[in-house]
This record gives sequence, structure tokens and C-alpha cells, in this order.
Amino acid sequence: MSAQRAENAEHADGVEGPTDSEAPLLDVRGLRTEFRTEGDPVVASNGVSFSLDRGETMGLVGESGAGKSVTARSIMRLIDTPGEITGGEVVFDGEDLLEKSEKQMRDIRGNRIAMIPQDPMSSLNPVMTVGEQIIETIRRHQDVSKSEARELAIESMDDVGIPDAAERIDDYPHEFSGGMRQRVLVAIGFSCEPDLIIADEPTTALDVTTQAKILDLLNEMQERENTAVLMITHNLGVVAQTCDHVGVMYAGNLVETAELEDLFERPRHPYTRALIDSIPEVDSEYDELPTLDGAMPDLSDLPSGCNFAPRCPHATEACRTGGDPALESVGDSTSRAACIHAEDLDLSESTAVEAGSGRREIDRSGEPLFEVRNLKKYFSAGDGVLGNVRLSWDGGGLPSVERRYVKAVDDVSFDIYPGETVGLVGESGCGKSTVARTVLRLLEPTDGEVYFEGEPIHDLGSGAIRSLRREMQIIFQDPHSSLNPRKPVGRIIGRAMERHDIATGEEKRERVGELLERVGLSAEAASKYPHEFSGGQQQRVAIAHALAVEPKLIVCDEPVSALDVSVQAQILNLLNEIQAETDISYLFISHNIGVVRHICDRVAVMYLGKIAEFGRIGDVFSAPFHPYTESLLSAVPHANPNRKTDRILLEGSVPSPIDPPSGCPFQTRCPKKIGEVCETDVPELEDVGDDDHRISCHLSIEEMSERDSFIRAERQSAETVESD
Amino acid sequence: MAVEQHREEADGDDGFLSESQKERLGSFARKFRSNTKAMVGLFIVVSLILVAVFAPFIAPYEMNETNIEDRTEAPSVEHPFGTDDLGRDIFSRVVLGSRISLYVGFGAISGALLVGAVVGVVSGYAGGLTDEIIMRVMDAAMAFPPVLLALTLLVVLGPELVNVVIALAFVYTPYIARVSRSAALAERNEAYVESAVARGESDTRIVFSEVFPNCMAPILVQGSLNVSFAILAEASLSFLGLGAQPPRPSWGLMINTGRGFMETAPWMLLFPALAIGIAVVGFNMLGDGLRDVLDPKVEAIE
Repeated sequence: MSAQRAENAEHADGVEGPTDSEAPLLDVRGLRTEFRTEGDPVVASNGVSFSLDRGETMGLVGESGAGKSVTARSIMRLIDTPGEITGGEVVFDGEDLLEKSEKQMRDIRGNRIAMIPQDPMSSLNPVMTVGEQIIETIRRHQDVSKSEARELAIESMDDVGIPDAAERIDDYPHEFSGGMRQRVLVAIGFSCEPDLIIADEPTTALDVTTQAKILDLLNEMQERENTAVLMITHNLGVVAQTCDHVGVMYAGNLVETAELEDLFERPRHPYTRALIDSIPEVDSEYDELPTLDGAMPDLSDLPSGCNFAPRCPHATEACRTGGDPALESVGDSTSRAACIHAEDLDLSESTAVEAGSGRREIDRSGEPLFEVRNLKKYFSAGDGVLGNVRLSWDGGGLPSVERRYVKAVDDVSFDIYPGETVGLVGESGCGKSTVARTVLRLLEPTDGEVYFEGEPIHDLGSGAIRSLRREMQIIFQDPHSSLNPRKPVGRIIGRAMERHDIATGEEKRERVGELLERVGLSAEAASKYPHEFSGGQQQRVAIAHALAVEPKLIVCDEPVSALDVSVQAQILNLLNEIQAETDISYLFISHNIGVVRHICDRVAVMYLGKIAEFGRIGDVFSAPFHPYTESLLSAVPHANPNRKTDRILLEGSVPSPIDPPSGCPFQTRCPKKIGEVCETDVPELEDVGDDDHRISCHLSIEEMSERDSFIRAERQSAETVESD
Repeated sequence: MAVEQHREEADGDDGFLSESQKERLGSFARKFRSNTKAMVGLFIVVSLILVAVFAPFIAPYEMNETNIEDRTEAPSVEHPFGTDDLGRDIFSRVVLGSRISLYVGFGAISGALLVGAVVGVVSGYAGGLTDEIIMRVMDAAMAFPPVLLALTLLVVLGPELVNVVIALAFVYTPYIARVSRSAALAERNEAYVESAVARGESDTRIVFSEVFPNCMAPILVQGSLNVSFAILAEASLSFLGLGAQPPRPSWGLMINTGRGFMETAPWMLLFPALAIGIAVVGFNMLGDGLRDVLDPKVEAIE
């Protein structure tokens, strides 16, 4: 890698000149960005240095608050007050961007350095057609006529794989799916053939199958245009799939830079090791995820020694007192790390312990704790009383009135035994969260039966339901919004006990304290307000709130998707511990397949309101597969560059649940579709093995077992997989 | 329900929260103090209230003390704001008039807040048909210009100060209700509401104990802005003869009388008008300032 050589030369005392005549495209030296606050300024990006060559991809990873986005925005000079770039140089193609006037910067942004933003839903202007938005960028930077620009825009939409570009150019953003909108943003980014693309979490808001396609597209575009890419992400899987070299950030500092393979094979900084280990991999089993205790330090109150020392398992006295170490090369490797022990620590071994004893056996001989039979939930399509009524003028004469429904959940059945965790996994819009709410009667079911310990929940009056809520609790995705901001957490938790006459007064206060300690907070935390906690701590409070009534079942609705990976591991371990202690059952909803694999005993894969496959973890994650499960598993990016998956890329996007396809709901995208039977007959969930493993597909078991694993251990050749 | 509420309140007071709550108040006070608009507004409003409370001690003359010989006298040491057509001291009347303005302003808006906030929050939380019906009624009431609607009501109720308060409370209820409703609509979708349902709470409790406290900020802002509108409306109504009746020293009434002497005794018009202006500006600034201080976005950044 020429960039690496150039970079090493840069920093190797400068005796020998660069062997490569070409200087790096982007050379960031000692970049420092501060935010002015009431107190001392907060340094969000502290002396960050790295360089990037043409055609190369660099990943910038770290948890939220690490300073990745601030660094990227500083490069484009997009820092607003109270932020300010206070030092360093950003040398882009030989010129320091920090010296440029605002007007000169405007000519560079979008033209030579382009940005692909995170959220495709809000990053396009809804009142302009996508064509206008691409043309706007082109005409701002290139001296072309309107019609030429339009040609160029169509070409760039073609390049990013938008079908029928010439026709769709005049469509508005809302007429595109999320993945297609992200393609439009990629098209805008590449439209002026920039030298550098800054991609800020470009796939975070997307589903895994869409994410896989966008990552492939980015790789392909980059190769074709020889563009350098700075990829900002918190997902090490994405890094492993796309980057050539990686920078790991922590509390505003770069703590490690390395070639991709070196980073994963032998991380030099303990933080990198911890980040890699806390991700549950799809193909491994663990008893417990290794975690990083604590949270990133407050940027306005950094520790006196190494910033990472308070959380570091290898920290010594010298780490805590010696000041924050600088980024230095380690041995003769390409890696550089900001750790005083980098030379003598061997971090090549994962600290994750693969499960030895195997899974806990669940006793499924008795009655299930919770049983859902043929649950249906239809929403009327549109708002208000007449919102779902459409007049159909087909067939001449008087119009016929049609009522339209969104079939969010359509005929779903499963059961949960005491002490068991059942997962619901699927992409956004598959109806998994609606199942969670409907089984608890937070939403009224349209049809179907739900039993809790034999009691028919679907038949109970509202009073009886309210008492039964003591037995069933829910944890939400966003802990910030699930705690009332105007109440101290002690009162939120205590209220649950009061409501169900479990404890009052002094006893209540004691139990609130115990609960808070149980979830890893201190009893004194009871008097604090939710906003005084970090996201992970808030989720702990939410768990304490759910536990306060000593329920038998907790529905966890994406409880870790809003959290950083290290915090995610802590919460997953906590949930597992609580289950081991109290034999509680979980219904665990998630789009993250690795997490589901780690925590669940059985799992249901949902697609378009129906269950496609249901069974024990081991069975669902191995052959025979439902074709959807197979493609879902293949799309997960592995946090290991040596494990490349043979991706099965799905065509098109999820059909609308208002007009679901006839026959099998997956038939419009199924790579293994066998013909007419898929379009006409709805497949039943049928047993395919002994262990209650059920798949809803017309294929024979042999056809569904064509591959025995979705992972190929050997490294794939560098050529990108043909995208849709 | 009420008992429950009290028990919780008691819980809150005996040290369960203290520190954090103090901190919260402290942070509010800090932000409030550094906001010039809010501080100037507060200063004016507090001064007005003090003047109204101590009016009888401040005013050098009785409000209806006439002295025909001194009529329409220009401002002097004896009569700082001059005298009116009946020889009454305008300064005394403006000072005593503050009581009427504040009485109507606070009275009407308290009434509007009481009804409007509850109706609005309930409507926003309930949604659906209930919401639709309540809000259409409110829209219908808002379709009339405020002063015109109040005039109509006063014709029915009779021109008395108490009726002015009732009429204005009625007129401003929809404005409060709209703001409360939109605040409740936003809060309704927060997960803590769902979490309370999942805990087994009743709707009544969720509305008043969970949602309501989170809607207070925009409601209070709207309330303090509306006090100034109500003061202005009272002046208009009195000017039109349907508000306070002579010889009460209502500012609007004084302007009405002063109108006839605009050329010979402009001070008869000037000082009550100034008083109205200062009161309106004061409450507006306080409301604007409160909005800045209570803005959740500002809070989130902190």
C-alpha cells in the first residue's frame, strides 16, 4: 500500500524522503477541533493525524462521542459555532484546506470532496425531484447546460444501479425506498467525480440486506472512479468489508491505526480488542460476551492519564498517571497505537470464550408460559375515519368502495416456555414490533388468540388486563424516550411497585435501591433524573423498571439497537444473568442477527407479517434454510476480514403490506423461486426436522439444504460480488 | 386518585429527590438569569404587580376625587401626569387602573388555562373522534376575531368587569387548548407513555401524572403571552364601552375619554396608553424569554 509507505515515511523522523513520488491525497496533521461551552472548551478532536491515498478506503471507527463525525466534518470545514478548528493542517492534494476562504471551500465541497450522509430519509429535499437534486450539484460545479447536466444525472443514476433511471429521474424522494434513496445520495456524491468521498455511517439506517447492496455499490464505484473513501462507522463488520486501513477513535483521539488485516489479527490497543470482542458473531456461541466496563469519559472531564485507562483491563499505574500517550508505531508492523504497553501486550487472542457447556436446556414438556395462535393485526391504511376507504372506478358505472388495510401481522403463532428466550428477527417493516405490542394488548389484535399461563389475554377486559400487566413487562428500544423526563428514576421504578401493591413507603425505597444495584447502578441513582444518565445506564433503569413488578415475561423490543457495541454487550449479559437467576422468559425482538443468535433459545424469522422460519437457534442457523433466512444470514457483515460471505443479494425491496404478493410473500424476491406454485399457493409452516423446526416454503428439504453453512472460511478474491 | 397524588408528592418532598431537583431548579434559574429578555420582562411584570398591590399607598389622590377648578391641567409637580376633564389626578388613576388590567389579564388567562390546558391535553392524548370533535369546536371559536367574540358575549352577559373576565377566558381558551393539544400529541408518542400503559396505569393517571407535566412548558409560555393580549382586549372593550364602566379607572376607558381632548389635553390619552404599552411589552418579553429558557432543544444541548 503506497499510502502506508508514504505515511510511515512522513512520520519516520523525516530522514529519507518518500519512496513514492506521489504525496497522499489527504494528509491530516494534528487536527484539533474544540467546542466552546460554559466551562472549559471541550476538545472533540484532539490532534488527529492520518493520511489517505487515492483509491484507498480508510475506516474511522469508534463509539458514539468518540469524535469520528467531528473529525470528518472538520476536514470539510463544516463545523458550526460553538465549534472551532483550533489547530493542525488538512492538506488535500497539496493544499491546506484550513487556509482556504469560505468561498474557495464551497468550490471544493461536493466537487472534489463529497459527503454521503447517514440518513437517506431526511437527507433529500422532499419537494424537489431526485433529478433536480443531482443536477443542482452538477451545475454548481461544472459548466454544463441544463440538458447536458440531465444526461449526466441519468448516467450517474444508472451507475449506482437505479433501474429505469431515465424515467425515474423526475420522481420525488418519497417514491423511492430507503435503499434506493441511499443510492441517489451515492449518485449525488459521485456526480462530480470527486477525489475524496466522506461516507458518514452510510448504511446505519438501512436493513442488512440493503446494507450489503450499498456496501457493494460503494466498493464498486470507488474502484471504477479511483476515489478515496473515508468511511465513518461504528460497525466493525462494515469496516472489515470495505476498508484498506482503519483508524480507531476514542474520546477525541486516534488510538490506533493499522492495515485492515493487522487490525483484526493483532490489535495493538486494548480498546480495539474490546471493540472487536464485544460484537456477537453470527457463527459462534458464547456463554458471556466480553465487555468493557464503564463508558467513554466525559470530554470535559478527561482522566489525568491515558483516556482509556479507567476501562482498560491491562492498565497499570503508569497508564493512570503518565498523561495521554501519543500515537506511535509498534515494532516493525504497520500498526500505530496510542498505548504505552503496545510493544509488550499480545492482543491477538480474542477474549471471548466460546461456549463450552453448550446451551441451557429448556424444559418444554409442560405447558408453555405464553402462547400465540394465529395472531393478526391489520391497520387501516391512512388516517382518520375515512382514510382507509378508496373509491375504485374500475369497471365503469358507479364506483365501488374498497377498504384497505396494512397487514402488519398476518397469522403468526409461537409459544414461549418458562425460562426461555424466543427471538423475533426480520427487517424493518416485517411486523416484529407490532407482534410485541399486540401480544401485550398495547394494540388490540384484529384476530387470533394469546394465552398467558392459560389465561386468554385476547378476551380479558381492560381492568383484568391492567392487573395482568404485573406478569408481563416491556423494554423499549429508545431508553431516552421510555423514561418520563420529569420524574426521578426512583419514582418511575417505585411507581410500578405501588401500582401493583408490591411495596410502599420505606420498603419500596429499599427495593428500588436493590433493583438499581442489581442492574449495575448505585442505589443513590434513585434521586437522579433520566437525562443525567448515559444511554446504557438509561436502558439499565428501564430494565429495573420492568423487573420492579417481578414479571414472568419481559418483551424486549430492540433493547440494544440504540446502544454502542460495548454497552450492548453489557446489557445482553445483564439480561442473561437475570434470566439465570429468576427463570424469567423473554420475547426478544431484534434486527441484529448476531445478537439474536447470542441471546435466544428459539427464533422466528419474520417477513412481511408472516413467520418464514421458526425453530431452535442451531436449527435455524444451519441447513435446511428458508431462502429468506439464507439471504439474511449471508448479508451480515462479519467483523473479520478473513471471513467473507458469499452474499445472496435480494432483488428489489420489500413489497407494500397493503398489497402483499399473492402466494408466498417472499416470491417476488426469492432467488430460489420454483415457479407458479410460489405465486398461487401460500406455503404452510411445516416441520422439517424433529426438533420443531418449521419452514414455510414450497421447496423440498434437499433444495433448502443446498449449502450447509453460509460462511466460507477462506478469504474470497478481491473482486466484488456482482450487485443486483 | 387525588390521595395517590398526595402520597407521591409527600414521597417527593422527604428527601427522595432533593439534590437533583435543586440542581434542576438551579439550572433553570441560571438560564433564566442570563436571558436578558426574560429578566426585563420579569422586572416589568413584578413592578406592575407591586404597583397594583400597593396602589392605594402610591396614588396621591382618591381615584374619583374631582376638582373642577383644576380640570385638564398639564403635568406638574402636584399632578405628575396632569388632570382629566373632571379634574381627577391622572397619575392616581393610572396607578389604580393597573389593578383592573392585571385582574382581567390574570383572571381571564387563569380561567383559559384551567379549561384550555385540560381540554387540550385530553384531546391530544385521546386522539381519534374525541380529538376531532373538540378541536373543530375550538376552531369554530377561534374563527371569530377575539374582541368581536368578547363583545358579543358581553352584550349577552352585560357590561361588568366580572363578565369581561369570563368573556375573555372563553375567548382565549381555544388558543391555550391548541398549544396544549400539540404538546400532548408529541408526548403521546413517547415510549414512556406506552411504558406506563404496559405497567397497567389507567388513562386518567397517564394523562395527568405522566403527560401533563411534560406539556407544562409550552402551556406556560402561551399563558404568559396571552395575559398581554387579554390586557389589551380589556382596554379595547372598555374603550368601546362594554368593559369597565365609568367612573372606574380602566386604562381603555381613560383613553376613550381622552380621545375628545386629544388636542387640548394630550396627556389624558398619553399616560394610560403608555401604561398599556409597558404592560403588554412586559408580559410578551416574559413569555418570549420563558420560551427560550424552557425550549427542550436548549436543554438537550446542555
